[in-house]
Amino acid sequence: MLIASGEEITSHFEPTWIPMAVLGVIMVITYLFIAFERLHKSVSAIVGAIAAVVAAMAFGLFGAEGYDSIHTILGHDINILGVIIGTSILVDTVGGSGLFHFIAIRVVKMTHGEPKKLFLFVCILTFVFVSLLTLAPGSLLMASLVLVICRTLGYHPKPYLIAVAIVANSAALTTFSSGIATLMIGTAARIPYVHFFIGSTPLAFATAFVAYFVLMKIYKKTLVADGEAAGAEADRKLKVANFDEWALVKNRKVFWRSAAVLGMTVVGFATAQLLRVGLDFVAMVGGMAALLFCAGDPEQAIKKVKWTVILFFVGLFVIIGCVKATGLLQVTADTLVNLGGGSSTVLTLIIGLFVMASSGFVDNIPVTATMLPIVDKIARGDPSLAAPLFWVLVGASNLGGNGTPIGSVSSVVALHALETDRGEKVGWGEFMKAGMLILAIQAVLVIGYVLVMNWLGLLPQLPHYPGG
Amino acid sequence: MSETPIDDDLHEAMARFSAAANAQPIELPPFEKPARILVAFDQSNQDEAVAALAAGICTRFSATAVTTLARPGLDVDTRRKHLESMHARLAGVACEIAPQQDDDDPADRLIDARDAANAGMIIMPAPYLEDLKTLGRDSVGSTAERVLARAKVPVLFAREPGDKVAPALNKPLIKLHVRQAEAAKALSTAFGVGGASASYRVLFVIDAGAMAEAMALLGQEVDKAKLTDQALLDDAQAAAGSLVAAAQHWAMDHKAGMKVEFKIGSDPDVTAREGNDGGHLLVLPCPADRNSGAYSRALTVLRLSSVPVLMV
Repeated sequence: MLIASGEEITSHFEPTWIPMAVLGVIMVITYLFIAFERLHKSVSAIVGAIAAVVAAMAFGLFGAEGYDSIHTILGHDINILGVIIGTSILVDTVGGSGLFHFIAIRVVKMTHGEPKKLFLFVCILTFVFVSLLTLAPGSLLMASLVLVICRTLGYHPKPYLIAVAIVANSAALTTFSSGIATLMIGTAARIPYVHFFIGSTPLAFATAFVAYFVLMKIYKKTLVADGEAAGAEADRKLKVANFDEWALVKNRKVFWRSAAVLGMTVVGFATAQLLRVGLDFVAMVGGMAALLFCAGDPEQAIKKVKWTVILFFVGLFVIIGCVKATGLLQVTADTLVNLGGGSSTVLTLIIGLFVMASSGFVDNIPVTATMLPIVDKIARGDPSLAAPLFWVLVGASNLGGNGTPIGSVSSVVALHALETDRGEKVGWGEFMKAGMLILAIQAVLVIGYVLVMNWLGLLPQLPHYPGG
Repeated sequence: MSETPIDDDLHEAMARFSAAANAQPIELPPFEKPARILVAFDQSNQDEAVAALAAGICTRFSATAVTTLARPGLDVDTRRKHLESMHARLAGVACEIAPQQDDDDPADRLIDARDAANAGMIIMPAPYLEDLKTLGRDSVGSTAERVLARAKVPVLFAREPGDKVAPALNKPLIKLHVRQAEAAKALSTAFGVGGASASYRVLFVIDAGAMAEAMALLGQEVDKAKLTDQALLDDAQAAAGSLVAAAQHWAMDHKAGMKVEFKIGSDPDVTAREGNDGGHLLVLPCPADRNSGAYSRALTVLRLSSVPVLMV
């Protein structure tokens, strides 16, 4: 984000309402196209960016620097793109070793196929994999595991897949690099990686437990094996015991090397600030180490990078940079502060609830990208608001997607998997019955946690906003 | 709302999990170390290669090398002198000359000699004509083919001349097909020959084109949209679970190196290229049915290979 470096691309002219209105409309239209998928979201973002650049140039918002301002805007966010590219390569290559599949099967064997225990372990595995691999690959891995296990044991996969969809969003809160929204906020607010363990990880655990508990209640009757006769149970146990995790390992040397590279990358993320390097550097080192030592196929691994996501980000960053140059985000920040009367409680509530609600319908990335400069401006004005607002943004942007079946990557992946495998669709009503209930409890938990911790002075402060 | 998941990624992950879920525990058939091995020379420039391979294998199994000269039309003394000169190359190996066979046909000679010696393995030349690559690729001698068809025991073919072939024994490349009955036996034999110190590669080759042709020949309906390399790869990865697991368990128990690969391409070409480029010992399951596709594919790989090939 622009705020990441503490610099700003400011207009050389006094901002007026016309450029604000034009750029604001371009941003809103782009977000609507992204929300309703009238065009591919990357195309929407890039087309929106082109329109924003043309308008910004026409209004002379970039002053003497002119078009070069766009490169400055993108330069500030290159670290996020670096982390996405590096981790994509790492995850694809390390995943090829069978490491994650191996761990998943080992863990499933511990359940002996008992449905409720399996449900618990699916939640735990989802949490661990998403924390390590980020939302999309983690939920894809878990959705495929659930389908295969349920097919083998004759269980209906729906409860397990919905658990994957919802628990994954909690897991995205665990570390600085567990989710893209988390990464954006952490980068923008320069939150030390280790501070996430204090500020965000407890929330991740607590909200995941809420999801598990509510889903367990809702699907309790479904989580029963078809045949409870002793013979059927014995057969089920035998089937699970016969799962052979070594069938997935193509090369044991590569398998162990992959575990080492992944472990070292996680340590690298945790110590990046001590080492005075960026997370993008660590991610790139991890990705290249995987290609060099884990028998990675560079062509394949680089192809698997989500280039559509990268383009989507480029478009978004440009749009927000242009809108920011009009002063619209400053005006929004001022309005919010006035609305909240300077109260951290009210502002935390407003921002928390707004972000949660909007993330359910629009991708949480543009919501987060738009809110970051606004929160930054509020925090610069009153540093004591920095910690509660950024921490509530972390929770709200990741969990908001729980409310609807299109609200997060994990829901889309899990529900698509169910439809592909069983031809069964989960309707909005059915999903929201569980999702909205969980989201409501999580909203109370997140906002309550942030307010109480802030009140007690236990919320990790943000060094980027001294005096907070 | 976000990325629409890519079905290919989902299927790939499912195929891999299916491999673990469907891996039926299979026991590799016991490999009986041959006490006697028939080593056939033909007085060609391949004799050195045959001797090098025989020395390595016979030493590994502490087996007796029963030597014979497959070439007809030579008198007894000439035969004996040549075989004794070959014995000198089998240092440390117990050698004996096979009883004289009177057959005119070299293949008959070898099979009769094997029966007479009760040999558990045959090592013989199958010339790979280096100077005439094209011809060499297309011509495995009929002797080799006829011996293979009647051997009943594993046959190790020396392809290129020279005595630098022995290191290949420590690098077996086992080419398997997921549903081939002889696959487990091929694994077991390869492990027996290579031992714990060898570094193994297990290769599965996916060839959608060949599959479509085979189905068309059998009069089966071919849905080319579904018969893709990716779909077959997913299927092969899922179906190979038992074999892969059996190989991995053996390698773990014996602390041997093991690598499993799935490659897309024309089966004989890919297998032979991998074997040749890596300087491997190629291990191929070879069904007894000479009319089967697997038999003819194994022979094609043999034709294309310049490295030693062990047919099981």
